[in-house]
Amino acid sequence: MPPSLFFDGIPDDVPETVAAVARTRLARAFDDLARHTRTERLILHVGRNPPRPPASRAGGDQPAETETIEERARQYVAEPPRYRFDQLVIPADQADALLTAVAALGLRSKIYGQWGLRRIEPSPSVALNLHGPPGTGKTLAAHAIAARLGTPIIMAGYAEIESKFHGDGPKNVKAAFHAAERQGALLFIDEADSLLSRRLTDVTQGSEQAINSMRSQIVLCLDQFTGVVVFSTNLVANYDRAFESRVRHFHFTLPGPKARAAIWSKLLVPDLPLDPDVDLARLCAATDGFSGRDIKLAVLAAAERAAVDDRQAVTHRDLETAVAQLKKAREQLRAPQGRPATEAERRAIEAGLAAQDAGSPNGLCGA
Amino acid sequence: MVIETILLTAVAALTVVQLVVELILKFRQIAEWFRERRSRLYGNVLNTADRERVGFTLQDLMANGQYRTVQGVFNTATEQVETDVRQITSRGIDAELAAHHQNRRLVIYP
Repeated sequence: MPPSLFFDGIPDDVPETVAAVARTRLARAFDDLARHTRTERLILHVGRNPPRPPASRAGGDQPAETETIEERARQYVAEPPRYRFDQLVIPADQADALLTAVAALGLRSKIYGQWGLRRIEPSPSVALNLHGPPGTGKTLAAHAIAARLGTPIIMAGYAEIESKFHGDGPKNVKAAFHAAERQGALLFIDEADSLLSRRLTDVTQGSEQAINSMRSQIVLCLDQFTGVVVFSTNLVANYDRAFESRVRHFHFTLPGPKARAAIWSKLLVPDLPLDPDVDLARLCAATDGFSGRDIKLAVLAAAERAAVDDRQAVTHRDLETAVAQLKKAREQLRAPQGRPATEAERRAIEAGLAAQDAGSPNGLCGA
Repeated sequence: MVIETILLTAVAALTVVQLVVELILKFRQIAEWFRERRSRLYGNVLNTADRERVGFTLQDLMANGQYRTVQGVFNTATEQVETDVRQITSRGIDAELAAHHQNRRLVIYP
């Protein structure tokens, strides 16, 4: 006897005859799907909005041990790409290389199967890694690649994949790839520094083992995935060897003068009323060291200033003030980040300080 | 060791150690000292020599319960501690500075 089906959410004011027909049709469709997938724990949600993740994932203290990959994959919902390639300002040769790599990903079976190149490269590249400083267009590029491929995009941040529950990380990795496969989407994993780093060789703690498991799971998923994966990293000192052939790296840099001019031109959109005194060359010169995102913030701040002042156009002064404020904010944010001293540094500094009687336990202000 | 000998010789000539007493030493004050020093000595021009300099803080919790933090700049090329070291005694340190040090006595700020 087939198990009972449960229906939830049919509004109370729907006539029973209409509700019964809906239930019957849904039950038939469900049975067909269940027979096809041969999955015992099939759960379907039908609606115009994506289902919420199970409550236990949002804030519970226990991992959802019995959660299937299908259930876990529901937290990754594909969305249409928000940007196109013509909005991305990167050097022409880099754009060409990126587009070629994207196209080649779609021709893997031809290149490595039909043409036999798998003999010389058993693990062909299946993913792109866009690395570089924040604000240089990595996320925009991922959207643009999805738009070029005509696929939706799944945005998965590292924070969403990593879990406080031991063993959940690898399952989340698997679920993200599963969701991308099912939804025919490009999978974009942001802040993937930790995922692509070299696996730890001297594992002493459970947390280190969990990180290694996640990195191993990424390798497995990359080998089985037939879609396109794009990683984004800010800085990876040591990539795991397994990724050397599987992931193709593209470096995104801060824009030079020409690129900044192009970015300013694109961001000062045609509908934005500009005072004739706006001088693009001066703005480019004033934004040396700015990323594309910084320039966007300057444009938005200047436009807000002009709108709040009830003026009809954005002036050069508005833009210049916004740039100056951003510079000041950047300076304030640029606090040094500490790291442990190397043994050689420690010896040299301690010896240096001891010689001037500072920093030693009985030094100048020792008590 | 050669490096230590060079350092000892160079640092022996140093005479200026600024002494500061604070109630709670905040990381913001540490960062501000580095920033102000760099601006005063080198302006806004970053050259190769500047990149060879790293800041450091060396911190001890003393027997009387106070923290002693020594702050300075170390030149990785010449392997010398620069002359204007300062030493701060405080009854406490803020969470940010504590996070930088954790269980480390010496922290480097590239």
